Amino acid sequence: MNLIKILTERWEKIDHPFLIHDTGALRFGDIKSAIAADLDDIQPGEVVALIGDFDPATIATMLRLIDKGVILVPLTTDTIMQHEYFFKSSLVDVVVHGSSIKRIKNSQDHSLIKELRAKKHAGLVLFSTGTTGRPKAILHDLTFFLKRFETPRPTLKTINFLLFDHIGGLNTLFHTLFNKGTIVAPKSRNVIDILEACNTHKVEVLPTTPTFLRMMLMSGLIPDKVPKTLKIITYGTERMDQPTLSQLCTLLPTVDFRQTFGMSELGIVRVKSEARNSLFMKIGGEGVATRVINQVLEIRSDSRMLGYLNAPSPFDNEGWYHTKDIVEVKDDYYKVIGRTSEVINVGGLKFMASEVERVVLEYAKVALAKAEGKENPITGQHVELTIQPIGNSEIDKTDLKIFLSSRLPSHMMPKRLRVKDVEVGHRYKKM
Amino acid sequence: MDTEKAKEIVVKAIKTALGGEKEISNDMPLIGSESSLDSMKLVEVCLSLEDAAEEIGFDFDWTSETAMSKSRSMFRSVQDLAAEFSKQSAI
Repeated sequence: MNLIKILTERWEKIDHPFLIHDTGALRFGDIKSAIAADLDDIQPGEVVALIGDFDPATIATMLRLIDKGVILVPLTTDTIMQHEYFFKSSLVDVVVHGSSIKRIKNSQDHSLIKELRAKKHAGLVLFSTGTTGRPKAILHDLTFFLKRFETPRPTLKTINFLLFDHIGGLNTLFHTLFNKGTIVAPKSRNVIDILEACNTHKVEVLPTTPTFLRMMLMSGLIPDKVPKTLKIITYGTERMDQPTLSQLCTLLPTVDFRQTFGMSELGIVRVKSEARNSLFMKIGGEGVATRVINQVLEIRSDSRMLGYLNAPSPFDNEGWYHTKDIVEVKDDYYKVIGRTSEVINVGGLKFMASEVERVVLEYAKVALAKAEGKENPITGQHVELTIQPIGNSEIDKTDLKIFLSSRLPSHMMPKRLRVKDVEVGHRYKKM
Repeated sequence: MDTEKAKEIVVKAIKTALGGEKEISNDMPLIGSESSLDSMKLVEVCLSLEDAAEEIGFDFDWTSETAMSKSRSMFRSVQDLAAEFSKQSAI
């Protein structure tokens, strides 16, 4: 590919930086002089794991690797414990971390990788979060993936909250590079650092996850620490609840809240929220079709992955992808109300874990809630609830039980209640 | 733990689930039409026993396949549940 050449032409005579990070700023012209790893021994079509983040050296290395036509596996140090598994399941030949280049022995091959090599296209491997089972290695045709950025579009100054190993994070990076925008790489992804970066760099778009937004609400830093420059907050990758969204809309009346709906398997799909305070969204865009079968959303997308490298294809013969998201439909809009894996069945009565969580979150002192169905020999399943209080608030379990019993039918009542921190993964999603 | 101590714990768990000081007899059935506990309340009782066992230092198993195969006999009466609780405490 000629990515660096194309981007160099686009950035000619433009002096603003495309990346602002905690130790400085990077202009596109600096890419050529950025100290990147020595990639001479890496051959086109090899599978290369690149460990890093949105820092100058990693971005410079990444662009060079794409131009070499490799199959890129972007990883972060947050997932270091899983790297061996990632290398093995994506058939990695070379690992690049900073200036270190390590060749690893891989004797396996995969038909999808062979196809990419035959076409002389670059590839991209991303991993699913793996909340059910081990993470799956998702292979995209990167040459095709990058085509969507050729049409010029407007950009706003954006924080790159989503990570380097996430399709949303890479989408923001390429969108900014191709459209001569500016992204801000935060020092860390905790609420204080993110809001500080928004203030210092007059950020306009903050892409987040619902878990991060709940943490932001409980930090007490909004609305005072949210800069006036912030125009849009996007949220996605996991389900948002209405009480959190409504509270955010009231506290930040000038910010537009937009839902995103990304699945690494499908590539990027366009989403339009019905309104800033609505969880209903329209999913579409060029080459994207949707349908609902038995309340579950199915999507067919031209930009879908080629397949998994370590699992059978999830697409049916016509290319439909079963999202496992249970949706409510209103005209052309969908609202995700849960995942098929979150259906709890108590004595034959079925409901979603999210219906319990939604009510729990209405209780004043609760910051995060996770309801789970646990097996038992009497009613099949029962609900167990983990709650994280706001700050140091004390939660009176009896009072919370009374609150819940006046709002939930008996079969949906949690039978066990734990007060502790709800686990949040490196992508700011509940585990 | 002897059966008497186990019975005290079981009776306390049942009283909590029923939300009152109702008299609990040894032969009170825990399942079936004569039981004062519905299935959800019985789950609550078992979870309280699980917690009580954890405090004492053992696992009260009522969800595994082995436990399930015993569930009919275990829930026949207060006495039977107390006997099972006592038995598991000794493992």
